[in-house]
Amino acid sequence: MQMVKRIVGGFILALLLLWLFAPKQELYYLVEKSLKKQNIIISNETIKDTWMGLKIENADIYNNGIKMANGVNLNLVFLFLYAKLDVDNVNINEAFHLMAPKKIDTLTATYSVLNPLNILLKGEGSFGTLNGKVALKDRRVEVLFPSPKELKTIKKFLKKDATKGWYYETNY
Amino acid sequence: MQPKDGTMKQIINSKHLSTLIFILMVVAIIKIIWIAISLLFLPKAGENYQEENRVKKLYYRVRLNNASTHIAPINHIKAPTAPKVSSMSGYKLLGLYNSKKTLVVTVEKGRKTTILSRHEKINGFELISAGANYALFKKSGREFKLSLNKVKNTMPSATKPTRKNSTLKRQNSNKGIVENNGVKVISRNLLTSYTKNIDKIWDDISIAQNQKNGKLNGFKINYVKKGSDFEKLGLKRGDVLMGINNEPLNSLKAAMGFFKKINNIENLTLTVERHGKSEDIEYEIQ
Repeated sequence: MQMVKRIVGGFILALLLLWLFAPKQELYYLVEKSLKKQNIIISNETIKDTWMGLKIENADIYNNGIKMANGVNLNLVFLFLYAKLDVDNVNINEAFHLMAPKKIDTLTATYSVLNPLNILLKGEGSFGTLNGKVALKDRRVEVLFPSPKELKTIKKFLKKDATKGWYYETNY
Repeated sequence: MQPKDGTMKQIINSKHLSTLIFILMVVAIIKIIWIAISLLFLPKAGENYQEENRVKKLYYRVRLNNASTHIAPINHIKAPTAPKVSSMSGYKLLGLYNSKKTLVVTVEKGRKTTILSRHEKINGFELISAGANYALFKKSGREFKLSLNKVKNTMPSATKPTRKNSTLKRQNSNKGIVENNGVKVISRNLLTSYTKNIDKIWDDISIAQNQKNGKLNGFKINYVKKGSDFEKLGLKRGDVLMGINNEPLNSLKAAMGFFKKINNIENLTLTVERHGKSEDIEYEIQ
């Protein structure tokens, strides 16, 4: 029993240390590199290693060479059984104001082992509030907009349902 | 005084010491592994967006036809005093460029258009000089005067075309797209209405990215609504929009860049690939 305890304890400790000592900044660069292959570039950001996560501040986001958003802050906390990504202050490029929401104040994605098949989403912005989930098994994203603002701009992306109200749905 | 073995055991428990050493070893191994991975596989620097140093090509569109309002009268060119001029029937002066050193005119006879510079001849008519809106030719010792857009020897007043143009501008701003002397004129109001209501564009036209070897190579027009402004512009289903104002549409950024400055442009040239051939369709914006 003592031996089992030691092995389990050692394993958890090793995992914890593995993440604690991980070169998170370099790992983030790796993510950036793979995003670049999809023509997404995160630029001009400040990166801070927060032991259990990573903080990215003041990032500009480009897609296909077009600046989509600026001043974006991201905060990733990863605790194996629980992970959380906070995105805030997303100022959408003025050129897209007729096609997309002007600003996303906060957007939170959380993953917990207590709900292993879903990533939960929550957000707030000029579009109102949103909550939804990414169903990992079904490979489906569903986002509900209980009280949408700027409906004229985002309506074309949304569907309407008597019970759900306005919602966005896509498969990946 | 030497402590007894039992006291030493209480201060440093060999079991705890071995656990501590084990943890430190794990830490050291993990750190070494990460250092190795980092050195071997992980990038050392992130990706930053590099603004392309794209020097915009010099783009001018000189429309010689009806250019009289844009060409300032050149004082130093002496128009012959009381010239004995005759008309050049069958000829049309389409355009004229007159400066200190250069004199270029475009003359049309029948369906043929010829560009002439000073002392060049067309059917024996030698171009000798020009005024603000007319050109003088010489043939067999006689002088011939050809005015802009007039076959007969009448001097249009300088103010007339301006007035016409301003009236035209007003008309265009209401009508959307009109044709003036073979050039399609788009009203700025129409452009603004499309930039303010983008959905309106997609009601009238359907375009898709045209890929070539995995790269964006213009935008293919899949549908043009009948009677829509896009049809009036001369766009047709199957056309591939390759460039705008001499800038290739080879990225979404280029398309977005054009969209951003659309309210400030004065001329519009669409380079379209139609049935495998490239054509430029030109418009004026007023």
